[in-house]
Amino acid sequence: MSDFPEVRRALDAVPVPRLSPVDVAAIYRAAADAHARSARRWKRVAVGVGALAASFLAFAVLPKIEVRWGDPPPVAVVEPKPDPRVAALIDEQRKLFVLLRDSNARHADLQDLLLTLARDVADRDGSQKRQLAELAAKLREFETVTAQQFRESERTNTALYNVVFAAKPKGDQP
Amino acid sequence: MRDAPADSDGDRMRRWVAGDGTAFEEIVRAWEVAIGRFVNRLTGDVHTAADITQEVFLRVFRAGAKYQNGGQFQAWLYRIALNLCRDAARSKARKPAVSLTPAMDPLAVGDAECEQRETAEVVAAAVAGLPGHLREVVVLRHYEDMSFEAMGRLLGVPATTLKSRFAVAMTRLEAVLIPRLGIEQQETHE
Repeated sequence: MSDFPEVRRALDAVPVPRLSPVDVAAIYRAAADAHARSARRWKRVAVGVGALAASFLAFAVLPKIEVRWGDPPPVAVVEPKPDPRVAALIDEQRKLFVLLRDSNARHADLQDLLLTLARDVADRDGSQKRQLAELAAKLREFETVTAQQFRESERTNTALYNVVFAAKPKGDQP
Repeated sequence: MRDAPADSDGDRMRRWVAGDGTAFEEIVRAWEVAIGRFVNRLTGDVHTAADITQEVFLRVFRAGAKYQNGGQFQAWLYRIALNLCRDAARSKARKPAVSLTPAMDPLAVGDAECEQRETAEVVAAAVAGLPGHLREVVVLRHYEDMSFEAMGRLLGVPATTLKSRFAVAMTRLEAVLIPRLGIEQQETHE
């Protein structure tokens, strides 16, 4: 960049004035002021938003308030205005209630059916038990009869033995 | 290009953001001369330059926590200064009325000094008479000794465009200064 040497020399002839040093304390103060301004601004915004919300609520609620004076004490009645979202929730809840009711009824029917079946099983069990008891009784009767027949047979055999072998005298053996 | 130390600007910023109160003052003291000189040459007004220099460091202070250290602290600082100078030029919308040279008592100076002062005033007026985009290139290239590539990053303009602007600016200055200062033009440049 050796072009324009005369111009460059002329440019170099301009002295640079010494500026006053930067005031760092002033920077700190300015930054603190700016911070305070910002805080105040946000505070104002917050207050404004709060007032706006309050006025919105007032305008939304006040028209619904009816103050009655007279014999009964003053009463402020707020007409309920169904919020579509609330109405939808209520409707949903109603559907759920119906579903729950149907489900309960179905549950009761099932419970009845189960009880009936259980009763039937119990009845059938009782009948079987009775049949078994009868069978057992017959078996016991049969055992008794068999035992009695055995004893009679034993007695008969003894008697027959005594008749056949006890009547022979000694020495008659061949 | 710079009088300020070439290292640790990023470290200083980190220290300052971390809560070291002395780091910011170190940054100010390291850069106030360079930035003041740069701003003074762009604005041509000592008082405006002092105000803008103060504002530059105020902006650095406010933006400190957001500074991303990518080794571009100098470019970031110069960009702040440049933008403030442009804002000041737009708000004033006038040529600098104050000389670039400090005020001197004409009675207290000799002929040589008077001549030097006159030369400085003529040159300052010629530089001030350049359009803003040419003046910026002259200041950054000649006084700040910035490469065209660095200038391109700073100004967001291609380096080739800046080279052309610099040539145009120097030609215009030459056309103004040589007749007024009675400089014998040498045949050294193209």
